[in-house]
Amino acid sequence: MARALRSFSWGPLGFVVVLACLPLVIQSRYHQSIAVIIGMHAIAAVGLSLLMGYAGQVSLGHAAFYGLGAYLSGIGSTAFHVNPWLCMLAAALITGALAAAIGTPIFRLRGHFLAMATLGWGIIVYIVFNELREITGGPSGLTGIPNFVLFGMPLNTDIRYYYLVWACALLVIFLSRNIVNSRVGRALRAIHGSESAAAALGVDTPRYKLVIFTVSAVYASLAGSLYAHYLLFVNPPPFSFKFSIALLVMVMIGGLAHIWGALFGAGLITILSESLRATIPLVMGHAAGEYEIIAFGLILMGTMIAMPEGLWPWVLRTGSRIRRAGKAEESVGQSAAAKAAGIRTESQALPIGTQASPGEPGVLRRPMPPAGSILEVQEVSKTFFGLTALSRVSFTVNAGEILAVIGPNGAGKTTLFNVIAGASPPTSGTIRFVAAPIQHLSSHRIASAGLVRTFQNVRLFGRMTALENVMVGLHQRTRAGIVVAALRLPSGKSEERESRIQAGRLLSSVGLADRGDLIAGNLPLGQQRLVEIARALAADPTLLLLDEPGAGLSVAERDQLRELVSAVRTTGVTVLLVEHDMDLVMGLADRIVVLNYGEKIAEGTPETIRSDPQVIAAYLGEEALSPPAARPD
Amino acid sequence: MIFASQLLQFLLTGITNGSIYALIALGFVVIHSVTSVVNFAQGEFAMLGALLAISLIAAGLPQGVAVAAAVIAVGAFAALLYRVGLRPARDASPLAMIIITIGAALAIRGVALVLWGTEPYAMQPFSSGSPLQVGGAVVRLQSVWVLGFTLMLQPLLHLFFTRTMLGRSLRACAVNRLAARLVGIQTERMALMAFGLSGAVGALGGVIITPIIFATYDMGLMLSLKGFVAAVMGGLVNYPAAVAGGFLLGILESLGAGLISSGYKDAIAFVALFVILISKPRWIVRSEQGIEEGG
Repeated sequence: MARALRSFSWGPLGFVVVLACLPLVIQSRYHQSIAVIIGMHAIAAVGLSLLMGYAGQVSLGHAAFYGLGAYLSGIGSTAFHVNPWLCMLAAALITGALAAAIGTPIFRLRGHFLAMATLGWGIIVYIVFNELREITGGPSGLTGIPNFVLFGMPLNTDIRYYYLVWACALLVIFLSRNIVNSRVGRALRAIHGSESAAAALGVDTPRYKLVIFTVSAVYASLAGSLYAHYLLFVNPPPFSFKFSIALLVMVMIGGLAHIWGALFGAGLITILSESLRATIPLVMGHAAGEYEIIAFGLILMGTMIAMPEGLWPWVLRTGSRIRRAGKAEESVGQSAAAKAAGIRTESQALPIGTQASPGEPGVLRRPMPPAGSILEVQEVSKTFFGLTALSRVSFTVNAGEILAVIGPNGAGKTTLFNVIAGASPPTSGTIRFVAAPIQHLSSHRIASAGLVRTFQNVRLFGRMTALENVMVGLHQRTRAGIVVAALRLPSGKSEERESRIQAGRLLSSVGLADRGDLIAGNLPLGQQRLVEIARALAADPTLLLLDEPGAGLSVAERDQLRELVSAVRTTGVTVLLVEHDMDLVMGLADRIVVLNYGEKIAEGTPETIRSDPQVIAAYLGEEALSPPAARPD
Repeated sequence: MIFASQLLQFLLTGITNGSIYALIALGFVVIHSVTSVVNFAQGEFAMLGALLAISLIAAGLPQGVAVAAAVIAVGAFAALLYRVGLRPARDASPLAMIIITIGAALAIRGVALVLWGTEPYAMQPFSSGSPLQVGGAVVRLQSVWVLGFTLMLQPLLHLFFTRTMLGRSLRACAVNRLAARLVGIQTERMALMAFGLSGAVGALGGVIITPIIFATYDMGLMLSLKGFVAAVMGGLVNYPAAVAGGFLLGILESLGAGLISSGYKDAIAFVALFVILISKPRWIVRSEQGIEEGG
């Protein structure tokens, strides 16, 4: 946040000044009313941008929440004669509760199912607005909604309302920017990047999706209430599917993950649709109709095809190019910021054990587990639609050891990992971690318990920096929630500073001190693997699951990896390793478990495994064995 | 007795309305299984088919010729839509694809508004004659046509997909696009075909239902949504199940409208959608596994 503010502080300030002066320039009431409407749309669009751009979840039914805000405010202040301010507050609370209630089942869905479910929600609510005539007035709507009154002054002119709406919009933008640049925002972006990886680091993904959905619904509701007390009349049409799409277009134009972009989109689309509404009838001749949907449709298609990043990032780039032409030398945003955060000072590689000394504030450290077995896999089976991937596999992992799981391709190694880490529950059998059964826990709970994994095909959050990736690893050891984040409370700020330092240290410890501010997705594969391991270590694992960490690495990188894993073990972390590279396995592992066709065929020290006839048969085929002696049964 | 015949009437009306959902659902399934795109413009194909046929009849073509021409033209248009709208973005996320098709749907609707205006259009039934009486319920002749077309399309599609090289290639793409390409199937052409086919099927649905419900420029949205619901009921990958889903949805709606309230008729489909999606049958779980990033 601090660095974003430092590099952009002129923008928001200038924007506020322009906003404050605008009514002095705009004399026409029509134009003033458009400025008011833009403010309302901006509030709703910023909310949708949080949901879509940051958390990566879609809503094609946001008009429903906008409508709920408007109707609840309208009904409260007409039928029950409640003060409009209270109505706005109550509407936001009720809409938020409703969003939380429907969000719970809806966000179990993904992709087009999620899109369609939210769309269906929007249409159901729209139908209810039309049909619940006794309460909503049906198609003819609600009239006689009162104005807001502030210190005895009714907000009944466009200029007064303009200041109210934009004060709300700025507040919403302020809160949203804070949320985005916080632990919560990082968790949301992690969900967007890879939901499974976020969960594997202890991010409670369903909860975060729900929270941000609720926040965006509350924003929409506020915008709706502002609408109701401005027009003093509500009827269903403004809350139809078309408005959900209009919001979508605004956010898309704004480039999804840009708060200011959503504002820009809201302005552009509102002005565009107003001017189309004014000009198209002149050209086409028909008076009625909603021709602006052609433009919406074409803009939507065009942006997605030609500019999937949206228009706002392009505006930003053009703007900074102009600025840079003025000032020849200025180090670009993030690297300067990273220096400011003090990461570079940690240039020397620190031993991994220093990741969190108990006395440090902010970041919690797990107590050491007792000696003995820490993971007990008992009779675990997993079938996929009738196909058996694992069949009654049992083994234990002892505290402090490195246990390797090997086996030919398709032996079930990754399935075993997924089952242990909670990515897919076992069909039968039990798994105990530090004596507690975990086979039915979801992956974020298992991660929070101290069992942390990496992925066979590296799953970094590609659009976040290496440092931010590691900071997501610290997620479940830090506490700042959405309220702390939104209000920038001091506790959140100090925790954030602490996290940054910790993450920087962890990156140093894997030898990537100077890579912290680079976008993780752009790093070479070897470094991505190291970042992933640093990220997993950040979660303070008791047991670290490494899924083929050596795959795709050069010889030198493998040597580095070997050292790293040994070093990890010396800090007391137990390691469970799946690996194909026999040199790496034989050099590192204390014990080895061999899987073949989903069954455990051998277990023992590297020496015994090396000479086990069944293992040789599994790897090299039966004929590799000397025919008479080696038949085990 | 009166209640029983009323119930039968609802059932028959439901089956007629369900036919068009079934045809739209078929279109969803064809496109989704070959290209993994959920094509939101599916209902617009029905709208275009209906309005185009009406205009061609007004221009003097015989009804049969007009209907055939409209179906072919919309099929070609759908293929064009894929070529200019979706293919350039074929590496985008599934969500981006949906948004593109939503954009296309809006643009098509807007153009239809310009061309045909807001008024509803009627079409002569395919055959004249008095309605049939079935056990106290009334069945319009056009309903028989609708049901006939929908049911006849089943064996035809089945033959197409199992007996022709093109049909088999389409199925190969549905099972595994990469493998299909490796054995020399031109997957791009197949995607084009899939859009063409579902455009034509959608248009046919729009045309045959118009003598019963009137055609308007904005009929596509609801048809898209309900067709999708029907396709989801049937699993989104299975043709006969999608058709069954269409009939089921039609019947549910007609019973709901008759027995509860006609105002909430449109809500029934979405409540059904919610119930299905939230109960998360196994195939949704399976189909979602492809959605998670995968790398």
